[in-house]
Amino acid sequence: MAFVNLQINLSELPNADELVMEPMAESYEREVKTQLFIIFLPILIASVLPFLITHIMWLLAIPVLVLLLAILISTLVIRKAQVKGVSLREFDVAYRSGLYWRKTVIVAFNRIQHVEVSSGPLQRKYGLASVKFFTAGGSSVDLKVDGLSTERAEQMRAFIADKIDESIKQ
Amino acid sequence: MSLLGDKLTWQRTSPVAVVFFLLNSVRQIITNGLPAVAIMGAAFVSASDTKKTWLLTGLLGFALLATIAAILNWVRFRFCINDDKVLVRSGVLKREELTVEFGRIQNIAIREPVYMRPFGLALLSIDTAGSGKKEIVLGGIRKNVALQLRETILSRNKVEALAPLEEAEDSDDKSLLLSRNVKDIVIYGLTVNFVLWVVIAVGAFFGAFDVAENFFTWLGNYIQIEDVMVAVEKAGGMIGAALITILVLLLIFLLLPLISVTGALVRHYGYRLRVEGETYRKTSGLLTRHDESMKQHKIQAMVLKQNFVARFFKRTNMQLRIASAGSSPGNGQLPTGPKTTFLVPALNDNELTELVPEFLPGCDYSNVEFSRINRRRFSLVIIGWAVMPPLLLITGILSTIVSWMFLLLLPIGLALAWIIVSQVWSKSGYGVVGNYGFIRHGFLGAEITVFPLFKVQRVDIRQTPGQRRKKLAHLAIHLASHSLSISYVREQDARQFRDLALYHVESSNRTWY
Repeated sequence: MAFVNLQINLSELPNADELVMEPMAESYEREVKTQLFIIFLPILIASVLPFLITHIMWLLAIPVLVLLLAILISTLVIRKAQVKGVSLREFDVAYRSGLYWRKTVIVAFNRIQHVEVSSGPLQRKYGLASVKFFTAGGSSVDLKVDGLSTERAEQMRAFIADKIDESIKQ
Repeated sequence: MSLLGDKLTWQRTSPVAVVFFLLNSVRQIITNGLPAVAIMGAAFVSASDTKKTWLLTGLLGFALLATIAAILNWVRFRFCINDDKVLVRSGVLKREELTVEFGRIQNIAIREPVYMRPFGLALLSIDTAGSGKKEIVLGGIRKNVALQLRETILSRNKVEALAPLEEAEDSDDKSLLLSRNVKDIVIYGLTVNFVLWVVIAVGAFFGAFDVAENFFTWLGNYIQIEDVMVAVEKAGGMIGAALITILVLLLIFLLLPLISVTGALVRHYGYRLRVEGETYRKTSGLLTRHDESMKQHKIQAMVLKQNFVARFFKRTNMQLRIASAGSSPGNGQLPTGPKTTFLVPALNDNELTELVPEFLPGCDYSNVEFSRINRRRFSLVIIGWAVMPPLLLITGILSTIVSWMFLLLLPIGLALAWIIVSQVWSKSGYGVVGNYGFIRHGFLGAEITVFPLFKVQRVDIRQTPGQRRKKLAHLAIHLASHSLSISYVREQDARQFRDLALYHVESSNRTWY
């Protein structure tokens, strides 16, 4: 067995999989859709150009293919935005993401070095913000949560800042 | 030195530091542009006399420029030691100012390079924690200033001051934990970087073919190898010539371990490891004396490496990893720089069982039982996705274009892949004993990482759809020193590992740094 000589009974441990993930803000889906629209519209327009210039019929296949691809990617991206979830527990923050390659990241508050709240122009339009949690050490050892409402992000930042202060005082 | 509100007093290092800056840039050129340097060298040897003059002039001009740059670097480099921090201003074109608080310092090393010893100077390097911070090197300060500075910094870190270097040299003192003799260091030299030799050898013959070719042309011109070959061919025919070639290659291949051993001896000769209170301190070095200190609570993880050369000698190399500095996201640096590891080389089994609990208190190393990963899924996925496609492609192309005989490569390739995958599988494992987590990886040898569960920074669990179906998972554990991961772990085990680590992190009020 993998676990030997433990101080605590494994069955007594708080199970991180029982936690209920809170979905992202409602406007997050709209933001993602707008983002997709901004990306795909110019591509779609550009893909019609060969046909418009040459008037060769089969060149219409390009915009059709691009449209199909755009729909496929958009569905996946929107689904991905829907399954994201975040949860604050007493001592840590958990973040679940990924549609097929599902990933759960957990960071304890007393390992968080600092918290950053950011929001881009599009995010601001939808009243959204991202929260980044930085831990120590090597690269990619931080957690970024997109699609939180501005209030929720600020709330989260304040909550964790408090927790960090607490753990420093101890 | 200065009170609050006082003007900071900026100091310069000794002029000898110019040599230090010069050597630094030379080292950088060599390590970053080794192939270019080698080609230049080869070109130089094979060039005509007039070309040689030009090349020499160019080289001299370059050396002059480098010297001027080193002098400017020295002039611009100023440092200041405050009550609780070190400040450094440097840079010729891009000016930089660095501030490092004593409390943030992870590791202090004092070195005495050969060219500094006659002047009683030393080199103090300070390694910090945190993202984006750099290491500070004060090259060319008086040795007693360096020692005093280290004492101050370590005492700020709430640790008793260290004895001066000379006193600690006493051979029969009780603080001595481990010493390495020449034999140990030679073994370490043989065991370390084995992959590197292979890469160098392969690279020299295939990758950087120009270099190899130029080298052989040079060698040919030098010892008239063609005459030798002709003579050999006359005497023993083609077989003789082939034998000679193989012999020469073998000789070159044997040269590589020699280089490795020499390097190990230069760096680690006279290795002494001492413990003074909570501070570990190692001194070593043939030409340059290295004196490195690290505190026990700074250890983030212990890596025990035993490749197959080391296994042959029944030795293990131990690396103690501390929080890595300067590995902020995106700067492309490896998170495990040489400064963030503290080496304990060539340990035999007794020394290993003695030293593991010394560095990781209460770590019951001998009791670890490694759970294995799912063999079927691991092998199927690796062979099915990584081995089969290129194998099928190559054999397919070769058999249609050249000969159907190449189809025989398919079973051979598969068998080889199966052997390798089984070997890798048998070395992958994970386990927990008490408060410590263990992760093992390997192919012919093994690399075991031991870490205190409460020092974990972040835990990820990832699952592909296939893994979800088979109740397997990928577990990634991020430490402040480096990240570990293991795939095809039982889902339940991955979760328990994570929950256990989080329990330790959240219930412990000890700081990780």
